[in-house]
Amino acid sequence: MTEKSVKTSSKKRKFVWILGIFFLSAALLSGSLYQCLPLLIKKLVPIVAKSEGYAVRLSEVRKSYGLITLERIRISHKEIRGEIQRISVEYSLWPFGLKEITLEKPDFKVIPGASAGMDFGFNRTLVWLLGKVSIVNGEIELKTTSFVADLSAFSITRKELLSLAQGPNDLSPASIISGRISVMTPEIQADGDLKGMLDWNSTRFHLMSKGKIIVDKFQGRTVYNLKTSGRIDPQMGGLSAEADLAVHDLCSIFPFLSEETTKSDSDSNISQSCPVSISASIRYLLAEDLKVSGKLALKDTRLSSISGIPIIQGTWRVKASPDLKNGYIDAGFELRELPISIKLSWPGENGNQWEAVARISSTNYDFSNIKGPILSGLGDIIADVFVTPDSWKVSMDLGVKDLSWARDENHAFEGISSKIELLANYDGSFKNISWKGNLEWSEGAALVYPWFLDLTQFAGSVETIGTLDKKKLLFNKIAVSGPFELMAREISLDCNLNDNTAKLSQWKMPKIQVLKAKGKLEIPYKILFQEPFSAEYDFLNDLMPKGTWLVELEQGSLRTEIKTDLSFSGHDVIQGMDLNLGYPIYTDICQPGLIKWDRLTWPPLSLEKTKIPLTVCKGNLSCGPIKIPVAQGEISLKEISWDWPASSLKLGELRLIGVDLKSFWPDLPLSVDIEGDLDQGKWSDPRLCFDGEILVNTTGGKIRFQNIWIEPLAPMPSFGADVVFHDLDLAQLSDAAQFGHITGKLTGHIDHLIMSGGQPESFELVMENDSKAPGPKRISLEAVENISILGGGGSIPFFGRMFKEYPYRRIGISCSLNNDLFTLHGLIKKDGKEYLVERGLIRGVNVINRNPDGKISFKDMLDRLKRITRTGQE
Amino acid sequence: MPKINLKLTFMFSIIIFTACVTVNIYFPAAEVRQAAEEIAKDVRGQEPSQDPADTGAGEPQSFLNLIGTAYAQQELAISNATIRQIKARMKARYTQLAPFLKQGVLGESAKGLLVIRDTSSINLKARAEVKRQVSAENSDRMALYSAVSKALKISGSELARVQEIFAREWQKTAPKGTWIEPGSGKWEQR
Repeated sequence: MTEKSVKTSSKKRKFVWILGIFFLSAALLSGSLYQCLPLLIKKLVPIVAKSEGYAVRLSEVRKSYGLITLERIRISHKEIRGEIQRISVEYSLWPFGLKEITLEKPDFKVIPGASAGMDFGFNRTLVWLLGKVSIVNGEIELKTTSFVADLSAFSITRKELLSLAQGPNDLSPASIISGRISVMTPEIQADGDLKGMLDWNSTRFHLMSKGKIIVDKFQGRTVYNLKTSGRIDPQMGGLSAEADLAVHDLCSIFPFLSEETTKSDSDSNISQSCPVSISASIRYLLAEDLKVSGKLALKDTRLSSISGIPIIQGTWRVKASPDLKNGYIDAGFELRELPISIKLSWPGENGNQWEAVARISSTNYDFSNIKGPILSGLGDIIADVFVTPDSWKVSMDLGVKDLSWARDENHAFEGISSKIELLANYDGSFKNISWKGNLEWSEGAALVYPWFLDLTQFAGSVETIGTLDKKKLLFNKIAVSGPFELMAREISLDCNLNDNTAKLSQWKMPKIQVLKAKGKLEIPYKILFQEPFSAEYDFLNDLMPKGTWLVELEQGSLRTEIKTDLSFSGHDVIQGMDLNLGYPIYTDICQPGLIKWDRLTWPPLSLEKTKIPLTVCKGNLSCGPIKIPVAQGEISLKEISWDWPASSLKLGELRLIGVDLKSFWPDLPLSVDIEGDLDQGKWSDPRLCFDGEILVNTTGGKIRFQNIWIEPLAPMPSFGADVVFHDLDLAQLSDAAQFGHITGKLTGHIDHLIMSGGQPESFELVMENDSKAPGPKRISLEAVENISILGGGGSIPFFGRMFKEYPYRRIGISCSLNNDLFTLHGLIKKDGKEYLVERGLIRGVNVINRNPDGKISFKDMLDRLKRITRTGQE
Repeated sequence: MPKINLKLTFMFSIIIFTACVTVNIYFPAAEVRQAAEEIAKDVRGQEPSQDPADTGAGEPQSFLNLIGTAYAQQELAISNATIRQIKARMKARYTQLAPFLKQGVLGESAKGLLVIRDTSSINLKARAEVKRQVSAENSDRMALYSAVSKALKISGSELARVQEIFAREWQKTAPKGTWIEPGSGKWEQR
């Protein structure tokens, strides 16, 4: 029993000793470890890190009670190189555990691998400026400090623009960004915000963004998802943008986040990183009346597959590369209340093929949404656009009702009802656009001042088929039906679409292979001439053609054929008129023409079948010689030439031979024949002046018209001449005028005669009897009375009425008209008196002007002439 | 001393000579105003004018009658064949223009021409017709001003003054509702 007890106590002591030695050793080891901990950490951490692919170097490790401080830790990896100024690890020995880990001034540079062959890459260093990373009780907090940084160090650019993007001023140092990121573990969800101002290429953007990063396990690997929304307000009028962006799997952007190791990863090529899906909704608020919203979805592709340049004007150009698969952009927006849907998709199976489909569809669309008060009306619109890299197609059906538009007072239309159909497509292989269009109109009115068109009366349609390439616009067919018929084929127009400065006026004359148009003459006459110009040229209201017109292209010249009858004020003037003109368009050869009529009646003129040949050259129309038999005589014209570029009209050798006026006026009490020789007529707007004279032979004497001019297009058509006459038989003249009876010969002149609108405006008349002419000089009592009436009255004494006729010695009268005032003078001046008629030697009657300074108004003169006329008729 | 006197005399002569340069400008404003008043009133029917039939002299029996039958116009301070016939045309046209003047579609400008003020109350066809009538009227008015100036021997450079004087008369005789421009750019409705 004793031995058993001794054995037992011996075992216990042995155990106590072993335990004591163990604890002592442990204490000594722990103490040694604690003392050696900085050294261990300093030596072991680089070894452990190296096994993970990192190179870590610690400058100093310090310890104090419950705190280990690691100073200046340099870490480098194939894509990361940086330094943490200080890591503080606070722990508690009882209960044992970490209380806080703090990283101060972590400063890393992310260095990408070779970026060659990539669309997208970091070509600069990314400076990750974080103030502090704290892990407290399992929660990680990352704090940034507000900073003013040279963010030009960070730029993302397409490699084509590398040299441009490397400019130091893309993002100026004036940019200010501050932000905050909070990261929560163990789920590792981070959220933060970013705000500031970016000064980019002198345009300032105010930026405000909130975001969240969620780290999740997905199919056995860690996925970093980003959701963010923000608003950018550039300092540009009316432009702001909002965006929501969700990036799933950030490893695509930052490959060091990827857990997978691929061959490419080892080559430091981020283009072969894991797939990414991005969805975004974008709202552009370009202006108050333009809202754009849409969806963007990229699936199973890499962000590096897209390169793009945002343009401030609100467009975004997207280029798809071959490895972009099964993506699409589907957007719908309303432009001026007009719904537009666009879908851009790239199926992927066809390599780099992509296609875009746009549709505009609306019923009873109010066109006032487009141009406010300038444009109004309703329309049904269906337009489809289908675009691929090599071709596009457009089809459009537009039906408008009561469409009205006004550019200004001179250009407008209203109440238009019309249908427009258009089919166009672009063929990349032929590099041209072909189209087919059809336009129908049935109601409305159009004004292109001075022309007005009532479309209700002239419903019609136009059909066109054609092509357009960079050098030529070709109409294969133009067909018009309605108020007239037109068919044109192969009309080509040279143009240069690459030259934006080329103006329409610089375009050359189109080449037309086939052209034929015809219609009734009444319609174009009414629309083109009568209605617009009759307010100024009243005769157009009285003139009315009735016939047909035909225009046809024939051997390089445009032939016009007009067959018509002409009436004036309801009376037939020209019957069976045929006007045949050719104008040389594609040739320099002058074209013959012809004007002929069966009968021309313009009382008293009447001409039977007449033919006048014409010649039309470029910019010139001429005809002659012309010989027209008129009133037993002839009018001949050697040449008439109208040169319209120079506004020049020339008449060459106009001759009147033996034209007997009595043929025109059978009641004419005198025999009058006219001959003339006007060598040349020259046009000097608005006057046509003639050299030469017209000679009128009557009553045995001659009347010469010289210095003749006419102003046919003046507001009041007028003509003028100087007139000289001599040897006119007074007896015949006075009898014809029922003025009484005077014998003798009359001579004199009219200077500066101007007739305006058929009425005398001014003249200076001097007339007297020819004192050398043989024969008796007698004047009837009636003639004396009439001369007296013209002079203002003076009664003949009773004894003067005893004889019906008196001898006279001389008659001399001057008369002038100016400003509707006549002055009348006697040419014979004796004893301070003015004699209109001087009596004979033995007997006779003197007619004396007692009021030589008096003026006679036009109205008074008319009254006096009426009295004379009345007397003569009695 | 004589040299000084000679110099002074010479200088004095130059001063007198240059000081005596006189520019005589004569603009017959009274005559133009009288003509404008008479024409405006006659065109707008505010003064009785003679019936053309009274002076038509019937059918021409004597060649003296070839002068014509359309002289039946009231005697004016200034007149001639051009003025009379233009005036007759304007008078005939006034019946078409008067409704548009009253509606405020047309206005009488300070330059003696008609202007289109507001065509919103008329349709496109009426607008085309009004514009044509206004164009014809203004063409006639300018021809009238030129004819009056020529008759009064007023140079072409003074045509604007003639227009201004006529403008006042057109505005005075315009019907109620017409827009008038008494001063340049200032419009008011009668």
